[in-house]
Amino acid sequence: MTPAIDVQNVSVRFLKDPLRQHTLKHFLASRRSGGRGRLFTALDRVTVRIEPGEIVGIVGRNGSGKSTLLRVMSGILPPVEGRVAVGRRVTPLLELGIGFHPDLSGRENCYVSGALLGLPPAAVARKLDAILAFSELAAFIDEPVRNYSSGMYARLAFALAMEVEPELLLLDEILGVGDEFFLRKCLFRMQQLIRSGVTTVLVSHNLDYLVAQCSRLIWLDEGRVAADGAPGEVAAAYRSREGHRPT
Amino acid sequence: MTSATGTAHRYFVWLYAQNVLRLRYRGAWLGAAWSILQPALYLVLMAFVFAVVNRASLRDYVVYLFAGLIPWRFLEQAALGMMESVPAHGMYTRKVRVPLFYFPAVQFLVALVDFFVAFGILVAVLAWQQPWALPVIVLPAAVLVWAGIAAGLGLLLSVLFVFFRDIRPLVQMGLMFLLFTSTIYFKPETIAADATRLRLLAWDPVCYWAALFQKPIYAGTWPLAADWTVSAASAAVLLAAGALSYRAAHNRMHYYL
Repeated sequence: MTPAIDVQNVSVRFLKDPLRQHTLKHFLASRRSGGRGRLFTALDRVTVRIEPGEIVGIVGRNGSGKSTLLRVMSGILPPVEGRVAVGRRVTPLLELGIGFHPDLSGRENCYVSGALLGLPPAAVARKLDAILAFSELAAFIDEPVRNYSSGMYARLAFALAMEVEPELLLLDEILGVGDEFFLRKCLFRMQQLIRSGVTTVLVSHNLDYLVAQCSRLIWLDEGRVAADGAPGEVAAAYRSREGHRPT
Repeated sequence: MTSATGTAHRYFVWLYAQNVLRLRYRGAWLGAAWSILQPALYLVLMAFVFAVVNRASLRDYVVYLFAGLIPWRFLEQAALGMMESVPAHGMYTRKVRVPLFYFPAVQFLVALVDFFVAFGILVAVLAWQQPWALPVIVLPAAVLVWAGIAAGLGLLLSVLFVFFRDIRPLVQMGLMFLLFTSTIYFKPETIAADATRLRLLAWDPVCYWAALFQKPIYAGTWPLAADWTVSAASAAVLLAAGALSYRAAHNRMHYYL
């Protein structure tokens, strides 16, 4: 079977102190001294194969490479080494409300942000009723989002994101805001989506949530795959190591 | 990328450009009227100042100046706007899979709309000043050539700026040098006695670019074959340089955003 995502020996290295290094002055100085820019390895020869229908969680400390791996899988970041093959229409939800402009109304923002998520205008128009129903923002949809509370903003952004109908969903810790009732509603909606057979990769620091939702868990440590397997086992190994690691 | 995603992303470019234009003067006193007032006031001020400096009749000089300055302002706005557009949208490029050249494309569209607004001002001045001459029928082709020059230069600069964030003053100085050494502000006949300067002007491509507008609008004559050749070649070279540099660097650009 063709994998949904096939990541082979992928490495990603970023420049350290990028703002200082992105100048003509630095370029000329480094050429004179023969030195190269200082690099930071975010992913180091990572190999991951995800089959269609799998729900894979990714866990790791801050800076372990989780978000970078999602960006590589979604085709946003081309790796410096290795190969990535994606066999399905991928929808990365790495942040909610991308493209939202504070001076535009909720309705206008649905079109702009929807276009960025791959929804043509006709599709947004068709789905607008569902977005309004889920977000419960029908009375405010023509108000500038500048006037929204952070919870209202998140509700609209999440409702829009859930209308993308992905074949392969990549989620990066997007449920950070909103009231408790709406959070539960979002989790339920996401669960429905995941259970509908959509291949899903979830990044989260909430280990219990990942263990409950995922069929497989990957632990990333300093840009490498430290463990990959059954969620319970990987979570136990991660807890055991991280519990003993100095912070 | 599927065709639906491609359609959506192209729509995003169009919608984003629309929003930049709509939101630019929202909430300001006189609102959208500034889209016309701002270039009109700038052009009138420049015409007045340089008519005095060049000791020219304002009524005559204003048409000459507008004919060269309006396409130049388009080039400058497009080039500088496109140059900074990719890092300015790092929020999008780090989180969504969208081709990086869409952001320079948005700035190009915005500059093109501003150009047509300023061109409307020129048309109004012409209606007051002098009758239209037949050679104005070449203006759509002239706009196309200038659009090619602006798009090529802007794309090239947008790639360079990702790697070298300190080039803005250099680019601004370079553009200013090209503007003030070309025949946009002064007429060639004012330096007819200076053979060296005239010879140097023959090597300045901006004079040929400007002639595509100045000759049909101000002089009522057809641009020469040399004007078309130099201008079209400039557009082709800059477009090729922009496209090739983008193609060669776009994977690496993600690491600098």
